[in-house]
Amino acid sequence: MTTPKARVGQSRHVVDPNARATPYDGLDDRALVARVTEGDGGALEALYARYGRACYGLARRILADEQFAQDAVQEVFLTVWRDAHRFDSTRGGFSTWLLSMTHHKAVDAVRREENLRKRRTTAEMLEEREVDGPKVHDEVWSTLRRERVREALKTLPDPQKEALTLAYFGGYTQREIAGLTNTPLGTVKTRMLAGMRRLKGGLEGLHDTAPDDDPYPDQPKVAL
Amino acid sequence: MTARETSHELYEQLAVGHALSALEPEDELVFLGHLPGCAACAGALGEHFDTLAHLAYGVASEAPPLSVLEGIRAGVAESGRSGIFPAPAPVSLDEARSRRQTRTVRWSTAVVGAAASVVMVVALVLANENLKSHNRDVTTNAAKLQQTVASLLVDGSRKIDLTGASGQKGVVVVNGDSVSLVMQGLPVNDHNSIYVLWERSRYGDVRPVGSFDVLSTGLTLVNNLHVADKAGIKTFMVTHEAGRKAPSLSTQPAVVTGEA
Repeated sequence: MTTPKARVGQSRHVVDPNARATPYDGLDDRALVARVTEGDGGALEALYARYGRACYGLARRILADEQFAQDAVQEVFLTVWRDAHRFDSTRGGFSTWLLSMTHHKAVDAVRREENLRKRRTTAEMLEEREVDGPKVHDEVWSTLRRERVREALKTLPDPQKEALTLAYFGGYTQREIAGLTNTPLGTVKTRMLAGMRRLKGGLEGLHDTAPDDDPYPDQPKVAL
Repeated sequence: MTARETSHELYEQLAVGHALSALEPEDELVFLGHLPGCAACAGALGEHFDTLAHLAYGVASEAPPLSVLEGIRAGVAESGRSGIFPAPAPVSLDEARSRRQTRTVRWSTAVVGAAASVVMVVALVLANENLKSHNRDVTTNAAKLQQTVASLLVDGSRKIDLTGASGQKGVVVVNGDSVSLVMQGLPVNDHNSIYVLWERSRYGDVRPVGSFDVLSTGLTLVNNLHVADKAGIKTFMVTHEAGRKAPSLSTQPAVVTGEA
C-alpha cells in the first residue's frame, strides 16, 4: 500500500474554453472548498461547473432515472454547501469525496425506489451512451480516462467484474449479489476484494497532476 | 498466512463492501467498530474510494439540466448563509423542481431544512450535589431523565433508548424530522473534542446528525437536530471525537447506541 494515491480532479479544470472567465478559474478545489465554508456561493457554483457533469453521469447510471438523478446531484451540492468543513484534504481529493457522496446518495435512492432497479447486466451498466455537449478539452481527457478505466475493468475476471459493477452501479448489497448470482456470500466478498485490488493495480498511474511545462496546464493528465 | 492475517482479511473484505455501500447492516456495524483502531483499514478505505472515483469516471459524464443549478441556488438562498450567486436570481426550491416535473421530493427539502438548522446545545445541570448516596444519585438522575424525556414527547413521537457499556444512558426523541437527545452520564468534553450523534439507516449508511458539548456530568439536552430520513433510521449512536468538528465518518467507538 505504498503506491502514491491517484489524484482525481484536483488540478484546475476548463469546462469550456469559450466559457466566460470567472474569478474562480485559477483556484484549485481546496481553495474553492475553503471559500464555500466561508459562505461563498460562487465557489460552490465553480465546483458544480467542474464536477456537476461527472456527478450527474454517475447518478444517471445508477438510478436510470433523470428526475431522481437530478434530485441526487442537487442534494450532493447542497450537502457540500452545508458540510464543506467536513472535507479533509489529507484523506483524499475533493472529487473523490464528492463522487463518493454522489454514489452513496444515488444508492440510497435506488434502494428506496425498488422499481428503479431493474436487473441490468454488467455490460449494460457500463455501456457507453452518446451524450450532448461540446467536445472541449475536458471531454477529451474524460474520454481518455474512460478508456483507461474500461481497459482496467477488462483485466478483471468476469465474476469479479460482475460483483463490483452490481454493487457500484447497481446499488446491490453483498447479500443481494450473492442471491442474484447464486453464489455464496463469502465468495462474493472475496471476489470484491480481489477485484478491487486488481482494479487498483490496473489504474496505477492514472492521475491528473499537470507538469509545469505542459502546454495545457489546466487539463488533467492520464498516463497511458 | 497467519491466523491473525487471515482474520484481518475479513475486515479488508468489509472495507471494500463499505466503500461500495454494499455491506449488510450487521457487517457495517462490525466494520465501523473495527475501523477507528485500524490504520491499515483506514488507509485501504481511502485507496478504495480513490479507485471507485476513477470507476465513476468510467461512465460518460452528462450535463445536468439548468434546473439542477437553479435548485442548488434556491437551497443556498434558503439556507440563510450569505451565498451570493451570479444572475439569474435564486428561485424557490419548489419553482426549480416544478420546472422539471411535478414529483414528490424525497429528501431534498428535509435536508435543506437540516442545513439551516443550528445545533443548539442546552446543558441542564440537574445533579443534586447534596444527595447522600451514589444509588440515590442514580435513581434521581434516572427520574429526571425520564421527566425530561416525557416533556419532549408529543403525539407521534418515537423514543429510542441509548445505552453504553459504562452505564451511560440516553434517549433520542424523534418528532418528524426533528430530533432531541437527552444524555446522562457522559464525561464533560474538553475544548479539543466534541460529542457527535450519528444515525444509521436501514441501508447501512451512517450520517452525523449533529455535534454537541457536555458541560456537566448531569443531564445534557440537545435540541434542534434533524435526521435526513426519519422513516429509514435503524440505529443511533454517540461518539466522542477529537477536534471541534464532526467528521464525515465516525473515528471513535460508540459511547452509547440504540436501535430504533
